[in-house]
Amino acid sequence: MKESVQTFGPQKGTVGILSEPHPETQGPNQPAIILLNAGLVHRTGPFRMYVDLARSLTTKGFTVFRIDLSGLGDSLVRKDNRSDEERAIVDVQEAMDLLTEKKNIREFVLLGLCEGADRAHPLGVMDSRVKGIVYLDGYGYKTPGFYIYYPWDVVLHFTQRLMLLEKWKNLVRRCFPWFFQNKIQENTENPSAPYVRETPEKKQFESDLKSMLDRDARLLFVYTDGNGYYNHKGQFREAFKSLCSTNKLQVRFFKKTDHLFTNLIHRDELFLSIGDWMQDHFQTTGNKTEGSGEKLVEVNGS
Amino acid sequence: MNPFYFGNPEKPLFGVYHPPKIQQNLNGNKGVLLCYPQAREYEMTHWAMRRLADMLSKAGVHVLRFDYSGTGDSAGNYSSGSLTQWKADIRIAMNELKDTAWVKKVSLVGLRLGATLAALVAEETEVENLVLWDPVVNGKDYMKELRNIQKDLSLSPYYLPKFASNGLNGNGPGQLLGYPSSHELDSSIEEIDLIKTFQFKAKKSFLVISGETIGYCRLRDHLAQKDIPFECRLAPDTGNWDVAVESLGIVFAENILKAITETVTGIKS
Repeated sequence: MKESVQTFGPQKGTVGILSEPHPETQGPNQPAIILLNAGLVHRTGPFRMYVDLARSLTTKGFTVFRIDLSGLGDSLVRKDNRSDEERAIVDVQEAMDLLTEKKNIREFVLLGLCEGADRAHPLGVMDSRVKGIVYLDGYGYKTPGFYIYYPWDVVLHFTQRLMLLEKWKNLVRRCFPWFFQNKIQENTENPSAPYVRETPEKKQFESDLKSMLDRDARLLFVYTDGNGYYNHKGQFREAFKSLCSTNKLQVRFFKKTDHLFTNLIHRDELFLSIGDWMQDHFQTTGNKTEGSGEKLVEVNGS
Repeated sequence: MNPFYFGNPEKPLFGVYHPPKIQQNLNGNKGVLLCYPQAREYEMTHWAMRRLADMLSKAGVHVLRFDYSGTGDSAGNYSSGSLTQWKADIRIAMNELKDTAWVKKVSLVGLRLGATLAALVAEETEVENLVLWDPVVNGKDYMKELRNIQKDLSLSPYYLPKFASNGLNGNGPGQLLGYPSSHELDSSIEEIDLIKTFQFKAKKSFLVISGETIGYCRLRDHLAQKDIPFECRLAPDTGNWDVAVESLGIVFAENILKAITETVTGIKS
């Protein structure tokens, strides 16, 4: 594996790390995978997840490009009037152009966690070079089934939180701040602007997915029940039944897993899922194995 | 800003060099190496360290920030990291900055465990100035804080204890707050005690703290007792690291960044 720094975009101010596999393991015309920032975390990803994922995928023969969208990580801010969403599209398109120019790679798979998945989606819809998207806790839609599971989740959650002494301490601190004045230093400057997720209308999202599937793109949705809007196997099928009849769209559900895949065991399972999916759909060397429809991945026993 | 790999080509380190944005001023021959904290604190403060590098380069200073072996974009796995390796990495990065910027002496600015590593390097290697931003004073206390947060996390319904606590009891794959852990690394961090520091080979040392804690008071008293030339600056800011680590919020710390920039450049903003 070889890793190199790449700079591109206006004044070469956008930064990425390109991980390339050993030439012998790389199949012809395989797409490169571009990883988009998870929220405000820079291109290494939470807990260095993107670095480990990139290195794991290179062992399977794939080229991986981890980029910082403009204004994030080490990339400079674009001085234009575009919205964040528009900037992200241009950034990724420039990253694709770079890989075409330097490595003659013309097809791409986008991968993002949370906000990263949201940024990947519109580009996937509009740019035919995008042959696949991996949505990690991407957009999700609550179904009647969600509310059947929900009360139990809430009871479980709060029972366990009540057991935490530290939570009680924090509550006391909040109620009597003057008592802890010297111990608590709140940062009132530069509060981070939280990402407000604007989930597209369900019909619009369904139509977007259909248009990508119609042009033979492959989509992998990975959901955790730590995201607050997805809580059982089958929720995606309940929301988009008509899309689930094809092998081109697959869903994995990680039960008892937090949104950031904090637990190493969950991350290992995730990398395995993504690696297998990439090999199934995009590997041009060796034997391919076919997956089928929605799969359930339950980690931590349940 | 110039991102690049340097050091041993087999195990390269990733760094970003910020050349001075103002030429020919008093700070033109100053070089500053930024030493990142570790693990969760690294992710939370990456933006603040980039901002600090920008502020220093705008004041005319050559700045290099870099990832230790097994962290960030540098080669290697986190679990194979060690304090010895990370201290060696700091020395490699100091030489890189000297070669790149043509500066003779380099100041070290470190945050949390990065500050502690910088202090340990400055015990043996000559540096211009040493700036310790909220350093980890006692390794045992630091690890205890992290383990308490881990314990809290492990009671979450999304993070079952039998896996989460493996890093604490030595069974199965060890992990601490989302990062793989190893007995060697954990115990080497636990051995840290800055109160035992004998001397820094720095012209001057600065303790820049975001809040008063017992640890910082003890360190301040110790440095004073040992006649180690230092200044302490209190810049109220994000100082509750255990709370910040638990919430995984991005740290901006503008007050501290200004204080450090003033400390290094001698220019009031």
